Amino acid sequence: MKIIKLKRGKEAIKVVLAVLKKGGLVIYPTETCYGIGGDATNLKAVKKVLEFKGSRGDKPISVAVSDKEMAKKYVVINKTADNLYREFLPGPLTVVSKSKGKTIRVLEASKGTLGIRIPKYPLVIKIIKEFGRPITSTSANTSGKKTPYCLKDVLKYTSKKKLELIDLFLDGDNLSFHLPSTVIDTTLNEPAILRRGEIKISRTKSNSFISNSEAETKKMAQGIFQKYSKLLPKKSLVFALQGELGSGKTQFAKGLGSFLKIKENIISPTFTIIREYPYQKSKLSGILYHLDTWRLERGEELLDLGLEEMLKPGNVIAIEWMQKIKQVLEHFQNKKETHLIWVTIESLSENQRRITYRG
Amino acid sequence: MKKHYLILSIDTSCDDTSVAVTNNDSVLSNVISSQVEFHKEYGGVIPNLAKRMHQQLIDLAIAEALKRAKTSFGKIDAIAVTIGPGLAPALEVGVAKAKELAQRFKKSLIGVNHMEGHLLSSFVRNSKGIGPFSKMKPRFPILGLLVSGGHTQLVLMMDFGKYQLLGETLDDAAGEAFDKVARMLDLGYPGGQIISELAKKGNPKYELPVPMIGSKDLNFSFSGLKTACLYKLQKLPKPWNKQFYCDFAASFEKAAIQALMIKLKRAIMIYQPKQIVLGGGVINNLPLRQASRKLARKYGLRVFIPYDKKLFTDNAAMIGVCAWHQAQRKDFFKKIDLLDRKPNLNFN
Repeated sequence: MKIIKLKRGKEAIKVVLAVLKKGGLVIYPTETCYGIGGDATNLKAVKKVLEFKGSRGDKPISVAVSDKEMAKKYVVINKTADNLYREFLPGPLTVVSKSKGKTIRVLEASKGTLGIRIPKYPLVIKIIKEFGRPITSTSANTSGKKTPYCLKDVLKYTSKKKLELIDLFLDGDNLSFHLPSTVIDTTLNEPAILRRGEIKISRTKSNSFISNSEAETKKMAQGIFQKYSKLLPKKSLVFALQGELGSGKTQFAKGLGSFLKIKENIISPTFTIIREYPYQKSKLSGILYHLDTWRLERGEELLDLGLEEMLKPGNVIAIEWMQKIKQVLEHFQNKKETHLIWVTIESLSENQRRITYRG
Repeated sequence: MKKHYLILSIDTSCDDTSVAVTNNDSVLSNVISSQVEFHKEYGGVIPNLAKRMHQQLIDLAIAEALKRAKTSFGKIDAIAVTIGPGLAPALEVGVAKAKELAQRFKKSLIGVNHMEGHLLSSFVRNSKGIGPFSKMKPRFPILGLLVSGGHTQLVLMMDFGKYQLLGETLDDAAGEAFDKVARMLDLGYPGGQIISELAKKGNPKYELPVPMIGSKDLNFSFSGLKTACLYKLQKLPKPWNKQFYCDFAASFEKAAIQALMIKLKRAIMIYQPKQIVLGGGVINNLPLRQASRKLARKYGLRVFIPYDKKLFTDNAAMIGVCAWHQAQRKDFFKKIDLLDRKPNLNFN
């Protein structure tokens, strides 16, 4: 392993570029700790990085780019990601986006996403820019060993055999201690645009109400439920709730709960994904399932969480963030035992909501 | 009761598959699926879906927990498992596995309330027997504030096994509000952490309503604060600069912590506890811990938090320690076949 001082500027850049082009590995400074860099599009280089890191399961490895322009070639940058790039990069933040598959596959997470960093180190950015391709960006330690902040750390905690994999150490002296970069996934919960008419249900009436408070939203939920309640003994009722954050979807579900005389407090299912409330209303009994797909990567996951079994006659299912599971729901709509009611809640002002239902 | 009582505990209440081995109230191993690198060949990809379903991970996690604790099924005295609250299909995986192990190896079986686990997380000691309560005995009643992504609760503890739920959230949990406000700021997921990070550099200059400030009970509500943030943000012209994000995060964090402190204070005044314990993932937030300590000091009270951050979030070690306390009061599940998950389990 050769060592070159970062201070040597242009000369250092030249040496580093030569190593990267050959598929070699460089240890380089970043604002968090020393990282290990190899050409992210070169299988040989990436394999060496993995060998250096050692056993780490299926954890993905982030890559460093010079700027957003370069990032765009390798990942799909959505609105959230764009916002994070603008405000926080270069800086200690790894932004996860959908990969375009132009880097070596093992760098990606299992769902085809790739983490991107722009280190806040002008010379490193310059190197990547001249290199023209992303380089791996993972801490320069074997998995489970100390995170390196200086050359001494690397030498002390790395086995001789692994050190042989490294061609060059770009020495930026002692780095001050920082936590590893924050990793943010931007592929979850993309705000779907709720176009009216997107839901195709033929010949169903649509009804619209204005609610002026949470209490009114709850009451309207009860009123809407009333209209469909006679179907319950023979069918399961699915209330597909759409509406932005804070529009009152959980309030609507609370209304459904009070119609069913459920005494338990109905609270947000965001974290647990599914909450269930058994009910008994005169001769009728069943379970109210309150679902939230907000934290799910794909709505289909609800199928593995038992959605189909929930659709038994007598049961009521309220689903928040149904955009993600629309197609699955439409499939069930064709089944006789399930009746779907699409509910849209739009915010008109701070307290006013327009509640539209059809189905 | 044996001098050294070894429990293998399982928690599959939500996202993580966790398995621990505990000796009385000391942790010998505490394996959490998202934090551990299982030794397997590269390319053996576990789809995200299965991660939530726990099926693929549970046997690996059990083997790893036994290995790290340098023990085997032969030496284990009891199997403990979280029965609720949580995600029903996830809980089922842990419950089924615990029943299978208890029957196969003829072990006692203990069903544990996940929230009781969080409440007792400050009583957990490390393998050397050192923990927050190693120099001081618990003095009851103890007031517990539990704050996580799925729960926000105030619980009074009269003794181990004797609890009274004083208040809880009526809509969103505090941790969820952090994540949702991050979403409004387009900060990705999980954003709660980044909000706390940004708040460090921010000035809480935006006025936000402190939820439930006027309510007389001990319940919480965070959905109103979430909505208030939404409308405040709509009024603030874009583009937002970096300082704006920091300032807004600080403003939100301040209101959220204040909401928790108002109710904590009220609970202290009404129930006059002798000690306070904190639990749940949101106590990772330093200003929340500082505010709790400051408030407690005014009443001459000490605040206890778990000795390791790993015990803040969902983990099986706290379940094992809770189960050990249950074992001491002979709270075993005799008819193993009948043990079932209780997704809505609560105190009382």
